[in-house]
Amino acid sequence: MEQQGKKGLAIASLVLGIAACVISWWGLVLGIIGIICAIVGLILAINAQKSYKALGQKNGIATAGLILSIIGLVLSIIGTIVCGVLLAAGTAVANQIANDPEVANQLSSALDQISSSVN
Amino acid sequence: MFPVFEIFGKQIGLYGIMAAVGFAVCFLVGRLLIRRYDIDVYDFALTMIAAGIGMTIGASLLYAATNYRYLYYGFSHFSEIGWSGLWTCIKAAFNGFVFYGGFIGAAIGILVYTKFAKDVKAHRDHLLDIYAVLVPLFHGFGRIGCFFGGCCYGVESPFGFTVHDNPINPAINGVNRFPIQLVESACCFILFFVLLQLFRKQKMTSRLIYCYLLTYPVIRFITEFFRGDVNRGIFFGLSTSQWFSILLFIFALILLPIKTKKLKQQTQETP
Repeated sequence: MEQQGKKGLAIASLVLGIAACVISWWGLVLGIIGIICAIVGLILAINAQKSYKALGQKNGIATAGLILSIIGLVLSIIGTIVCGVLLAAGTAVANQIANDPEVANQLSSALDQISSSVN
Repeated sequence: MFPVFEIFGKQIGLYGIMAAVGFAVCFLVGRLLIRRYDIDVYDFALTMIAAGIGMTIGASLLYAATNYRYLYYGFSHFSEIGWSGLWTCIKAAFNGFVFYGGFIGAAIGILVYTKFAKDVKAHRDHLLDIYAVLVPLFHGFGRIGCFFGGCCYGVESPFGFTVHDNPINPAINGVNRFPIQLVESACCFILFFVLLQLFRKQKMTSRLIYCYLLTYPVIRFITEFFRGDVNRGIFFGLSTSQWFSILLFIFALILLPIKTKKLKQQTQETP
């Protein structure tokens, strides 16, 4: 019987790649989950490709999983990480402080206390 | 400067775009460099993923360490602020990256991966050489992202750029600032070309990472004096990155001769 590459890995990578592309667009938490799905999908796709390459075969599902995982990762990075995180976190903190003066005063005096004890 | 733009109602960070572009360019350049050592492109991709994961974790952790006061406040006042307030403090503590944390994290990622992956175990030093060449390339793109993002910025200056409507750091708006991020980006690209030449001419093989650590920390120590964002952490008059620059420079100064001696012994032992 002809040896086959790791088809299970290929299918899993395809599913995760699709999931990463879809959910990375919806907010900070889903974006981070999208990044994790994309990275796991990428690892599975690469291992699937390696197994097929070792047998001199090709597999379209593994290739599709690889491409979708890469796209999902890029979308997640662009939409979520760093600037998205900065924006979400920074804006959230800024809004909370701007909208609630009591939080602002508490945080400010706490930071002053910590700064003076450190210095 | 110009941190975000909107596509279909979704805010897209320019820093993220530059990071993605930098990563893609590094992969393409790395594909060419691995040919010398006959490393499989898929193994190289997995190594880059390991480096990327390490970089993200390391950079975030170091940023959180320099902003420990948010975490301290969140946990010590949990009864007053609740889960929502704690989550806000955690996001504030982790809402940035520090380059040196990312550099160390990525290096650890490569070392851990090459320790356990049998296909690349023998190529650890070669991969670290390639890593040393690609780090300044990625960093150059990242610094352009920093410039656009406004999350870190230069000192007030009579020449430079005036920032407007930056939502990340409203305090910097309306002030002319020295474009230190662009200067550092240019230095990184120059360093990339220098290390690439050393790689191509097979100079300092298996030691390029030490060459990087003897060069970039000097650049960073100097450019830090032109940074205007004080919230990055200042300890005894020097910034976190300046302290790391000193430590990593000394680290390389000590380890480079040891590595050179080890390589000479290996060359003499090999018939």
